[in-house]
Amino acid sequence: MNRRPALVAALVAALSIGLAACSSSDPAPGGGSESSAAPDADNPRAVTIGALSISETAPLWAAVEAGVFAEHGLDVTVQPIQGGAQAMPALVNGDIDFSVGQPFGAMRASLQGLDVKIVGNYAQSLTEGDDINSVVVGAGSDITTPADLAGKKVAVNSLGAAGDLTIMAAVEEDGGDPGTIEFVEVAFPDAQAQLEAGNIDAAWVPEPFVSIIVGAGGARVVDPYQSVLPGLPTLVLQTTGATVADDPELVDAVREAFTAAFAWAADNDEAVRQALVDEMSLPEPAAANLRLPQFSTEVDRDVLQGLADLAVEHEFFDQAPDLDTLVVID
Amino acid sequence: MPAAPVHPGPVHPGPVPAVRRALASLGYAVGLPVLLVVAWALATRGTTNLYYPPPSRVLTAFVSTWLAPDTLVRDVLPSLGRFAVGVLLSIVIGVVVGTAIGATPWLRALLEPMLEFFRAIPPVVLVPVLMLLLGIDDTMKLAVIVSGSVWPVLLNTIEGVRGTDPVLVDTSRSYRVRGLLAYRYVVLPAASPQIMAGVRLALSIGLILMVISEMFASSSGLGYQIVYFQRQYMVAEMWSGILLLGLVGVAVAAVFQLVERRVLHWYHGSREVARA
Repeated sequence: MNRRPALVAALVAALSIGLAACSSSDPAPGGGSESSAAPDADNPRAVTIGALSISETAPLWAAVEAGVFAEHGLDVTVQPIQGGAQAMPALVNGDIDFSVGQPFGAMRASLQGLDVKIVGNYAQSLTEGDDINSVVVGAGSDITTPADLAGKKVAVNSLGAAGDLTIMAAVEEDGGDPGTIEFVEVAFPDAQAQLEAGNIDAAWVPEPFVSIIVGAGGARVVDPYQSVLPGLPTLVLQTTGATVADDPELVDAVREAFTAAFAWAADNDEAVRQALVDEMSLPEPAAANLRLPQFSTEVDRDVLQGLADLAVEHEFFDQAPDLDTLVVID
Repeated sequence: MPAAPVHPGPVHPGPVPAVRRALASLGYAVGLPVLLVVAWALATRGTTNLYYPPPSRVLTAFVSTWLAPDTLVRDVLPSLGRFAVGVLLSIVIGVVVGTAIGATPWLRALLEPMLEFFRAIPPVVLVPVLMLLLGIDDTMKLAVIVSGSVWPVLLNTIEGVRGTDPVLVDTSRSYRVRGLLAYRYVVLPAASPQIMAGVRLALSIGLILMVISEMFASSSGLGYQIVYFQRQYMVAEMWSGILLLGLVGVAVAAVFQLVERRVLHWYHGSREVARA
């Protein structure tokens, strides 16, 4: 084993070049590579939209399939993503042009200095009736009111997000001490088994898990979104600030296409349900009965501001994000 | 970040002053890490990209995140505790069961194919099952660690015990060295080089599984924190967690080497004699 200074120097040089290459792949300005002319049906523009593989994505899948986006001059590819945190690097690097994700994640990313903008709403929770997500308990639980959740073990899919935040607020409103709730991360599909095994006292789950757990003898305790911030957006349409600045025509076209897609989806419920069967392998009866949120591109700034203020109040955020710069709607 | 080489530099025969030798071995140990950090600093100089933080930013995050008393008590120490208990359990189970299997030919013939089967199952895929069987507390996390890191110790112990020099065994038997006495002074020493090789593997597997076990149904721990930071776009904090894991790995390797030197001093000695 001889010392070889030259070899070491070469190695270090090679590594630095490699690292430099990494850092030089900063986001290309512009996002989209094509010209910024307004898209039209004869000359469609390729747009990649990142979306979670969840039931809320059904109208998007169905509308792309039915050609609603093509009519608006957009050749849309729906790219499955695993979660907001995974979508953000893809968005910043230009691998996807738009993403459909939680507004809380967008706020968090923007507070951390990421160049993300909310350019439209996608889906929101229901303002009345049974909401699309709920805190549920197993059969025979003595938890009946939000205040009963104090001091209990409550599962959410990811901590430090809108789920645990709104649960804390709901418990506080009901007179319980939200600081005593022990939150634990359990994936939505695992929640029912963990409830039945007694490992957790309650779980926050979306549809179809709410129906499944209630159908198995469980009960709804509280719909945290509806009780704290009625109509809270569950998903919003996001892109980068660079895209908004360099290609406003594209952003407008995408927003208009989504508005048209949701209008189309409202009239073609069967196609939407079929997308659930095709894309998520949901059994047909389940797809037919699944409660879906409301779909709209109309952003409710007040409720987003409410969410941001709540996050500051419960110390999820050090400061509220500036919604005037985060939310871009003409 | 690669683990720092902990081996001292080559020992040169001849009159090299002890101080120079110590400096040289220190240079070998920290040389590459220092160069890598310098290269990293140069490459990220002036960057504003959140995903490529400069080392100074990661260092700040490291100090404010991991050296804060509440993180230390809530996340770091419990994680290291689970790691230590998990690996110790793996070593005890591996050595005890391995000795039994290694010393009993029919048991070995019976179990070996099944051991290979279970060994090939990645513990990660067992997590949802273990969550149901054992709940979501420390028991589950320990089970995940043990289910992965017991194998190198177990299989190496079996091999080590089986490979004990038959002449040695016969000789000791003819001197009526039997039972626990024979185990303590003949079988265990003969198998210990193999066992220690297994332990070394178990340590690194255990560290990985400690992190993975905390990524499920958790609300504290090193693994949980790293995933949490990633999801909250706290990229420098996430890297600082990864840095901490690497440092823990280096520390564990250093401790292992000290222990191994002590346990196997006769072995290293006899090999050096054989080589001379």
